[in-house]
Amino acid sequence: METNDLFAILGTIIIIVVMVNISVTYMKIADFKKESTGNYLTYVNLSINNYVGLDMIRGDLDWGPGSIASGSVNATLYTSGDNQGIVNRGNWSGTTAKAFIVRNVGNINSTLYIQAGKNAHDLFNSATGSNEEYMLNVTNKKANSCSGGAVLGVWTNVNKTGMGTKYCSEFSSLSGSNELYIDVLLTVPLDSNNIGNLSDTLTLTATASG
Amino acid sequence: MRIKKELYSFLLVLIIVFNIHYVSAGLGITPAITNVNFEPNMSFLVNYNVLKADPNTTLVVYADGDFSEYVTFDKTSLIGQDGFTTYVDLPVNATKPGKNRLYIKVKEYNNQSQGIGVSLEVGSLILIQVPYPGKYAEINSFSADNVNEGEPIHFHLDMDNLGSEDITPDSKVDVYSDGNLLDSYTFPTKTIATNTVESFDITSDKEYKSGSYEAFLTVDLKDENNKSNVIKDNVTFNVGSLSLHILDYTREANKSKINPYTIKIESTWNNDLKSVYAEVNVTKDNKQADFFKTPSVDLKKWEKADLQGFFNAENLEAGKYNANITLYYEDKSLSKMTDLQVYDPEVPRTNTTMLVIVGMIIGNILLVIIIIVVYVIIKRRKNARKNKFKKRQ
Repeated sequence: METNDLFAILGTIIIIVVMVNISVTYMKIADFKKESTGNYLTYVNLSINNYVGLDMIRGDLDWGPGSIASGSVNATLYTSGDNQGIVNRGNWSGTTAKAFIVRNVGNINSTLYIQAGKNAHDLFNSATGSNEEYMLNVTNKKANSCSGGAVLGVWTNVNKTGMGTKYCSEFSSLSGSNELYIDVLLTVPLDSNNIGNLSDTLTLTATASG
Repeated sequence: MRIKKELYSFLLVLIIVFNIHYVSAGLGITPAITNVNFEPNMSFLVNYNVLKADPNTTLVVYADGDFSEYVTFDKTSLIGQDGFTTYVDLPVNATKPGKNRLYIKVKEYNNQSQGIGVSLEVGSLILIQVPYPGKYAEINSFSADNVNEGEPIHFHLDMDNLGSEDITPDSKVDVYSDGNLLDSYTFPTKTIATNTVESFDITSDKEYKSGSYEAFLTVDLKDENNKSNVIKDNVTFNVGSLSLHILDYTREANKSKINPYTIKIESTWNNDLKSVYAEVNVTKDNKQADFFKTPSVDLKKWEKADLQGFFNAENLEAGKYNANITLYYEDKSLSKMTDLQVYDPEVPRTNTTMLVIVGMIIGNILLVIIIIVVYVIIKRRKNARKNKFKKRQ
């Protein structure tokens, strides 16, 4: 028998040993998981009138007074969940500026849309058409509250068309997973043509999923 | 000029950021979903109630989606929690077969003049099912009852005719065990009118041994010209025996105290079992170390439960013991010999399972390295031989 043949046989044996070893490792890990966990869940079904409902748990968003930093072309202000609001290139305090919180208070899952009345340019109408932003960032406050819609956790421009952006195909009604943060970002341009009383309304629409 | 503009900008940002606010706390509507089967010229009404609205909030009612142009309301403006009626007068023809979604929406009327506000809107769904042209049906439910050995099995089928024509389907059930076809049953033939649901039932005339079985349903809607148009479903059913399974049990105990001892059990009987309990005899080298009983529990059919007793290890030495678990139920008993590790809390313990896993992972990595080395050696030897052969030539 040649040396190469010996190596080939040895290699084959090693591969078999590796496969067996991997299988045993997998089974051991499964056993370990089994020993380490012991949760049981039970569900109770009740038949009651179904309804769709939303609650604004936090609807106040107050930045206080402030201005764009000298030498800057804009200032950006944004909320960050329960944390203090963040201000770049400006002197707003942001102490009490926190994300909107919306809760599904219905007893069925709903589909959630958010529509703005204006986009950034409608709101500020900057002379250069730049340095202006009006964005939202929707995230789960309670895990698994929202699924099947736009990507969560990403700043996206507000949507004023149709019913707006569908953020959740299924906005859960389970009490442990029925709350969302809606963070707001504004980049205020120095060269805005809109002055005086500016306003917009974010419409949160919940419809029965079906 | 520039100074003036910057002054304006300063004032602008002050206003924008200072006045962000919201309108009200909540809004809801009931009922959330109404199901309707489309019929030409059909008229119907739905009464709605608005929930959770602030008493002073003005609300606007409107329709959106499929058939919204055929909707009228008794009122389109509400104040706070109120009720309203929706009237729907469907047309002669529907253009879209299947599920049509009509939303009845209630929206907060927002007349704010400055700042960024939040307005809530809720929509109730009227699901209007328009028949598909021709023959079309869906299986609403297909079930096979769990039974005990020796009892007949009952199969139940609910079919929804969603097509525009009446249907008379041929439906049969094939029962499989471990991939082998055991029996076939045919449901009685029945005509299902369009937009109606019909139930079909059949009971097996055979007895099955305990175990798990699969029932495969085949429904042939028989298209025009008797062309086959088949829909399928399947369901698993269990045939029970008067027995219990021990799923898990306590494997470790602290030698310095009285330890809770849990036995997880599962009933494989299709009736309730009363007064199930366990006795545990702990021994070492054939000498009894402890003996205890668990309180009894009642199990519903196929239910899982925990039996919990207490193992006194206060005067025992650390080491491996045998725990003989005996379950008592009805007039039967079932025993299982298990291992029970008694440990000394003052002696640091090594997690053997973790050690084995880490060892195996390291072993696998080493073996993969060996394979690579062997491969490289073979490759080098081959190349050396080739070079030698070339030199000879």
